[in-house]
Amino acid sequence: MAQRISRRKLSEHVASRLLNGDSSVITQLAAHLVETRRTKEADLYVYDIEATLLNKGVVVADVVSARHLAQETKDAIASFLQDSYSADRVELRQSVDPLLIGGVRVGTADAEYDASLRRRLTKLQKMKV
Amino acid sequence: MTKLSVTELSRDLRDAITQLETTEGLEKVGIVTRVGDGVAWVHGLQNAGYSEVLTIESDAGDVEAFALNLNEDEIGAVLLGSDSEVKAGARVTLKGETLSVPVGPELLGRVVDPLGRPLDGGAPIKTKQRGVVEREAIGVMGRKSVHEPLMTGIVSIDAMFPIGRGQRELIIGDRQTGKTAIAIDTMINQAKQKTGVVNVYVAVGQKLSKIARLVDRLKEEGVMDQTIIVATGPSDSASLLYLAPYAGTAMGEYFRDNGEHALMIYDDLTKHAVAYRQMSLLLRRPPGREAFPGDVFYLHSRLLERSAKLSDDLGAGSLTALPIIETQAGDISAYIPTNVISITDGQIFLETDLFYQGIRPAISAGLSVSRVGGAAQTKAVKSVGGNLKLGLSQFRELASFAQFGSDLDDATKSQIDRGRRLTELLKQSQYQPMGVWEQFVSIHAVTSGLFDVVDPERIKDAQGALVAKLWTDHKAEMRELNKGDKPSDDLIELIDSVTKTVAKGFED
Repeated sequence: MAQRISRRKLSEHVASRLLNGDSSVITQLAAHLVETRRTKEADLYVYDIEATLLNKGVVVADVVSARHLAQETKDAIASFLQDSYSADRVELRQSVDPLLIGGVRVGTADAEYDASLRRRLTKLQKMKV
Repeated sequence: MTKLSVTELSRDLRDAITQLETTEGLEKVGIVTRVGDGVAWVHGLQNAGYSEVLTIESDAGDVEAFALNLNEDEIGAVLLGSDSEVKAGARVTLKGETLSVPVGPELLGRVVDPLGRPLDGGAPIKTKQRGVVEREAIGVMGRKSVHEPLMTGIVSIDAMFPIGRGQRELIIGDRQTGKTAIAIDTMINQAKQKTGVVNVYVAVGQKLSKIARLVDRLKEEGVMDQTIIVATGPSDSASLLYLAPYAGTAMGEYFRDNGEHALMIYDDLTKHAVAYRQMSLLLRRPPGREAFPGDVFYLHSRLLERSAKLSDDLGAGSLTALPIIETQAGDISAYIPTNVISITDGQIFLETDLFYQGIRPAISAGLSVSRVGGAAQTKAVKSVGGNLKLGLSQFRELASFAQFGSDLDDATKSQIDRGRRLTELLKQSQYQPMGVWEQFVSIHAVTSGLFDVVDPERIKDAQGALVAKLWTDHKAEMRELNKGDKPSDDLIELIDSVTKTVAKGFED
C-alpha cells in the first residue's frame, strides 16, 4: 500500500513549483486529491500552500470589508502585511461583506487581523457590557 | 552621545505599552476541521505548544481546549467544555499559556472542579495566585528524606506501616473494602490532632452523592476548614477527570512551597487511568496493554513525583500522597496496580476476606508495606509496635495450623491467644482516629501481656476502659506522651499499674 503523503509535505512541493512559475502543479494536485479521495481537504491544502508561500516571502491575504476599499487603504494593508511578515511580495484578494457593518478583516494563511465593527460588537456582547 | 532622560524613558515605555495594548495586531488563528467525543481537530496554529490552551469560538461563547496531539497536519485538542457547542469551521486562537488553576488559602473549605470553579454554591473564589496544572517535580537537591510522621490515627497503620510527611503510600484493594474510609479517617485525624496539615481530596469520577456525604461528614468533624475538595463526577468529560489530580496537586503544592504540610488523596487513580485511556484512544494514539496508551506509567509517575518533603532551604514543607487504586478480585498484578505499586513508597492492601470477617480496617499484614515511613514513626509507637507485624503474621500462620488439631503446647496456645487479642485490638471503627498516647497504651497493654487475662472478645471494652481511666486520672502524663517521645520508665510503670487494675475488672 502506498504511503500517505502528509498534507504539509505535498503543500511544500506545490508551493515551491508555483514559485518557479510552474502552474501545472495545480492540475496534478487536483488529480492526486481525486485519486486519493481527499477532495474534501482542498480548502486545507489551499491554507497549507499559502502558509508555505508565507514562509517563502509571499503573502496571500483575504481582505474583506463592508464596502469597496480605496486604493490608499489597500496599499496601507499591503504595507502592513509586508512589515508584519517581512515579505517580498503581497497579494490581496478583496471581497465585500456588508455583514461586517464597517471596518476591515484581513486573513492570511496562519493569522487574522479583524478590525471590523461586527467583531467589536460581538466582543462587547461577550463581555456582557 | 545622547543624554538619557529617565523621565522620557519612562514616558516612552508607557507610550509603547499603551500602543501595544490598544493595537490589535495579527492574531494566529486556526480552524476546527472535525469535532466529536470531546476532541476537536484543529488545522493551523503550527506554533501551538504541548498542553497549551486553545480558545474555540462558538455561538454559545468561547470553549477552551488544550492541545495534546501536535501532528504534522493538525492538532488534536481535548475540550474542557461541551463538544455540542463547537462546530467544524469554528475559529481557534492560542491563549499563550498552559492550564493553570487558582491556588491559595482562599480555597480551604471549598468544593471546586478541576479548573478551580466553585461547585458548592458559595461565593466566587478570588485567589492572589494561580498554579500551573502540569508542573515539573522538584529536583534531588530540593528534597529531604522523609522524617516527620503523618499520623493517620489508625493503629494498624501507624504501628505497622507508618507514613511520613512527603511519602507516597498507596491504598489498594477491591471495591467496598474501606479504602476511602482510611483516607477520610486520616483527614479527620489531622484536625483532631491539630497537626495543621491541609487536606486536598481529589475525587476522580466519584458519585456526586458520595462526595456530598463526604463533605457533610468533614463539616461535622470540623475538618472542612482545612480541606479542599476537587470533585469530578461520572458524567464529567474525560478531560476533567484527567485534569483533576494534577489540578489538586497544584493546589496542594501551594502549601508545600510555603513551608506548610499538605496531604493529597487521589480517589481513585484507576478511574484516572481509564479517563486517560478514553482520551488517548479518541486522539488515535496507539493502544498498548489493556488498551492503555504507552505513557500510562508516566501519567502517574509524574503526578506522584510532585509529592515530596522539601529541603530546609526551600522551607521544609511537604506534600504527602495517598493514591487509591481499586483492584478486581484482589488482583494486584494487573497493569495499573503494579505501575502505581512501583511508583509509590509502599502500599496498604485491603482484603475482602478480612473485611467480611469483621476485621476492619481490613489491612493485610503480609502484603502491606511502608518503605520509608520507619524513619518517620513516632518513638512512642515505635517502641511498642516494633514486632507487631511479625507477631501478627506468625499468629495468622499458627492459627491456620491450629485449625487441624487441638493438641497444642502451652507456648503456641498463648501465642495464638495473644494474636487473637492483637487482632481484636487493631479493629477500629470508622471516624474514630486515635492519638499517639491512645495507640501506645493500647498496644502496650496487649504486647506486654498485661491484657492476657482478658478474654479476646472483651479486648475492645478493656481498651476503652483503659483509655478512659488514663485520660481521667493522668491527663497531664498522657498529653506528654501524645507528643510522641519515647515514654520514661516511670511513665511506663504508671501505665502498667493502671492497665493491671483495668485488666482485673475484665478477668474471666
